[in-house]
Amino acid sequence: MIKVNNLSKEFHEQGTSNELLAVDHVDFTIQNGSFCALVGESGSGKSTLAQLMCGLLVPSSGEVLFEGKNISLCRGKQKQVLQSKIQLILQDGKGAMDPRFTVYQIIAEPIRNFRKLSKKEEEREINDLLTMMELPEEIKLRKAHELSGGQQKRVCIARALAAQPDVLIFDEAVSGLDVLVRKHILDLLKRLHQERKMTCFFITHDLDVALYLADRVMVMRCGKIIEDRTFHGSTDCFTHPYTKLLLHSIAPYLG
Amino acid sequence: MKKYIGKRIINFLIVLVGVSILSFLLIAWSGKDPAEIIAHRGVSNPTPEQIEMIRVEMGLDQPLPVRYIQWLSGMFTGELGTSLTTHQPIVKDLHKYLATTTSLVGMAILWIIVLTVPISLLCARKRNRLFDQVTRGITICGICMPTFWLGFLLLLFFAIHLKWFSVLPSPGWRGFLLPSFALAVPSSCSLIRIMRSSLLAELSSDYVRFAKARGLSANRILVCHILRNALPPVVTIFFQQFGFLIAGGAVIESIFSIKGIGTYLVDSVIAADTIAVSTCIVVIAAIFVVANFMADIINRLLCPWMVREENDT
Repeated sequence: MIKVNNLSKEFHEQGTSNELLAVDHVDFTIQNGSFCALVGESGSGKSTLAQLMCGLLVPSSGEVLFEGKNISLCRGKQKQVLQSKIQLILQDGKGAMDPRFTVYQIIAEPIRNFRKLSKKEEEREINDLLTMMELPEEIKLRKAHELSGGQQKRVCIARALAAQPDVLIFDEAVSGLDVLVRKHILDLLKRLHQERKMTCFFITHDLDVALYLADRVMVMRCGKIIEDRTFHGSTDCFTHPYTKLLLHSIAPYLG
Repeated sequence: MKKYIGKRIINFLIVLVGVSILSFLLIAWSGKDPAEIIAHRGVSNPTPEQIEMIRVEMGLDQPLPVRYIQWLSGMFTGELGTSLTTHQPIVKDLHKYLATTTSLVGMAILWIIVLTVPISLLCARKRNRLFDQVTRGITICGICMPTFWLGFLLLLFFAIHLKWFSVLPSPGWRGFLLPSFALAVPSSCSLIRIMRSSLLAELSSDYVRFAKARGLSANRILVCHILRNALPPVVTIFFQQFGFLIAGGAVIESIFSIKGIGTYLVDSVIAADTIAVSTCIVVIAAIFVVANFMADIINRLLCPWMVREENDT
């Protein structure tokens, strides 16, 4: 379970005394095994929130509790173990991978770090993950720059799964992909969540993607969570004018 | 890769031919007549006939293209004649002096690696803190400091005051310690600045930032990811410095009385030994081009994506 308590993050603009409140006193709890989506426009503080949740940024106030432990207060080995349980998947798949590493090395890295498997077990695990991600085995020897956008994203997900995390945070993970690839990856995530009962936190600016995937949708604007609803297939549950505006903007595409 | 290596070898040959023509022509047109200089050494007032005789003996009466071809073929057969300064075969001299310079440069490279890698890593990790600030000041001084001055300071302090070393060249690796350090300091200082910037650029890249979020330890990120990816610009500059170390070692060699290729070249220039000078220049140019070629190959092995980007453009 992840509990976010009164979380805020302020950034100081360089050269000025201005302060930017990227995340403004946010509170929510994510139950184990749930699929939550966070929707918001660019600059609303979604990515900052994701980085706070995985301990990459230190909050200005408030706390993120994972299994009862405050992530920002953990140090050293304890923090590493905690961070390995929360894996972050980014929009830029290529940039998130070491350009010198092959796909095999990329996926093997968390296995070697967090799970002491034998060479054979490691290879079997990597093959299983590639099969799960619907990636061909020959891709193992390729490097990040030799993969398509969709393949890069799948390798990133495989790498995250290799660490056997409890929580997966997707930060705009399907943005910039063409519709077919995007649909494939979304279906894959849905299946993954159902099969592994993993906690997923999906950050997107597309409300339709959030509605397709999640059983709970939060809407963020100017650093604040303005709406937090459990979604059961009907959009009637959304009441905030901004969410309605977002719904109206996707309506023409839905026909 | 094979195609690339083939291309680079052709480039290498073109550069060598160009350098050989240029150095040969520049020396031939320098206005100095080697026959006259040699004649003046033997006799105090040589007659024009005596000078002409020496000129014919040295083949200087031949047209320039013929002399160039003779010199070039001499490079391949190893028959370049006798040096005017050492009175030994030029090829033998080159072997001897190049070996000394290579030892000097080899030790300078060890100094460069020992100084550059740990200091730049520490600077990047302690960015803008006291260690980084102090190192910045020292490296800027090191870049600006002339090597001859540093050489004199080292001799003064370690050889005269502390008496740890002899002022005269001592045999073995001990004799190379101070000169190689003096030679390494300017290169190390500029490489520390470059490597620090390169490491900082890697540190701010996405895959490093999020490797931390994935729970990897700081040391593992530094060694397995940052260091290797920060190396390409450092490798390029390092191999360029290698050429400069060979060619620019003359000053250090003369301060520490080491007989290397640099001092041999300077002595040959003073003695107007055109053949020895042209040959030295071609050898140094070849080392320079090979060093650059090595840098390219290592960079390609370190960053295979560079090959694809080149192919795309």
